Amino acid sequence: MSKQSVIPFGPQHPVLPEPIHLDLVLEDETVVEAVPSIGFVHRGLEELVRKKDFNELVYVVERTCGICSFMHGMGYCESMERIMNVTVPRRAAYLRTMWAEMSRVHSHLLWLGLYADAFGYENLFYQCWRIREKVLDMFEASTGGRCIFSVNKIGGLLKDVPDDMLKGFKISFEDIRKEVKVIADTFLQDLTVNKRLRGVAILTKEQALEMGAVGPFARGSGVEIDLRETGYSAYDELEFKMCTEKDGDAYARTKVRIDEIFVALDLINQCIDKIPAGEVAVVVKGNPSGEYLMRLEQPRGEGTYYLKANGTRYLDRLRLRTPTFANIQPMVSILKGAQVSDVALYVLSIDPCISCTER
Amino acid sequence: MSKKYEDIQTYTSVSPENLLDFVSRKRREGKRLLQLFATHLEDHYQVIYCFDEGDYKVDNLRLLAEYDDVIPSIAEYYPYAVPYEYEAIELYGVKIDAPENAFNRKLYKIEADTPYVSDFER
Repeated sequence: MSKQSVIPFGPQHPVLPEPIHLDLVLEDETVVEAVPSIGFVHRGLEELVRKKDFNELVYVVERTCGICSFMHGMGYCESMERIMNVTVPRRAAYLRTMWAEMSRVHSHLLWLGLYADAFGYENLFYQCWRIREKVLDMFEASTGGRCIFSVNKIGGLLKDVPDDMLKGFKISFEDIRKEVKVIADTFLQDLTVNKRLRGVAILTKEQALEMGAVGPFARGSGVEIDLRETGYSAYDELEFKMCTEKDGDAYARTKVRIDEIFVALDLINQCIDKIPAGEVAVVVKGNPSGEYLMRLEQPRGEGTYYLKANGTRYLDRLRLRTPTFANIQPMVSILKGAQVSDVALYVLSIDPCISCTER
Repeated sequence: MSKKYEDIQTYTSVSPENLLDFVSRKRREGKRLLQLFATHLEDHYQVIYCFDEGDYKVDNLRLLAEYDDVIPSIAEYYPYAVPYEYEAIELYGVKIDAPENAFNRKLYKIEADTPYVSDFER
């Protein structure tokens, strides 16, 4: 047996946008074990239930993440609305769904760019992020924000989107679809990219189930879980196909995310076509009492929002389980057997969002 | 219409003594553990174990325990429960008999011990 050595990976690393630390146990240059640790930017957002009332918490929860910010606010509001037996107007449900899918598009484009940069395709990185900027422009036009949107509230939305703007979005998203098709061809057809991503960082379907993987990480291994099938918000009136692959390697995860961009663009189109006229919020009175566990499909997978309310303005508990936290264990498992020089690429293949995890 | 599944959530009360009976049954039935998490209530704490029962139905095992109670680890049945158990131990001070050798004995690299316990009383 070769002599074992331990080297640190992170929390600061050129490939990691956010801090996570791994103790890599190596034999020669092969990883035999990886021990994760987190907490470097832990913010204690869940504990702010003691200081912020349940309406203010919308803005706290949104700040869990700067990428899927909208979906965090949406998950919190939908959970609270179920506790308070509030039905939001359908127009609000459709707009939430549209913004949620826009979040998925820009999040996946962000990841594709980072991944391209990690395997040495800087120009592809620029192209992915250039397209992503167009989505952020539409976010800014419709919500006023590019990172934190502050449009959700309990009972609906703080602002409506004019129909003319929605029609303009439809045209813009058609352009985006064409541009994504071009970069998708590079990711999926290029010989060098194929050689870099195929057959590496493999998570089998059995491992994914055994270790609780979620989102594109799990679907890339053939696990058919997509919370949108439960029909929350406006998904009950929309058609979509769950994207899965069977190989469980880095290429499969990349393909799932690219396919999901196209599905998201279809869903945005459907939202714009079907959105009804009307109000975007209802008046909500009183304090919440009860508990609810809301689950929704974030770009990185299943996010859960457990709220326990006691009839006062302050909650007993706000629990966010972010998809990356669920994916830490399976991520560690794919590192076993990796060459140390490939660790960054393997870690990035799960699309980790550490700021979500450090809520 | 795309909606295929109903939103069904159930709660089942368990105790530290019979927790593993329930969890082992879930394991045999192939249920997926979604998460576990702790909540401090007035004079005790609550740990909820969330399981996906299939078709997106959720069954939550609700465990109420005194502050001094030691809760058995479910890692024997669900190895990926360990980070959740460490989180409950390190942030919320829950006494869980979790595997001691995981994560070099500490998952959260934070200075404070059990930061969400000491100032609990609102």
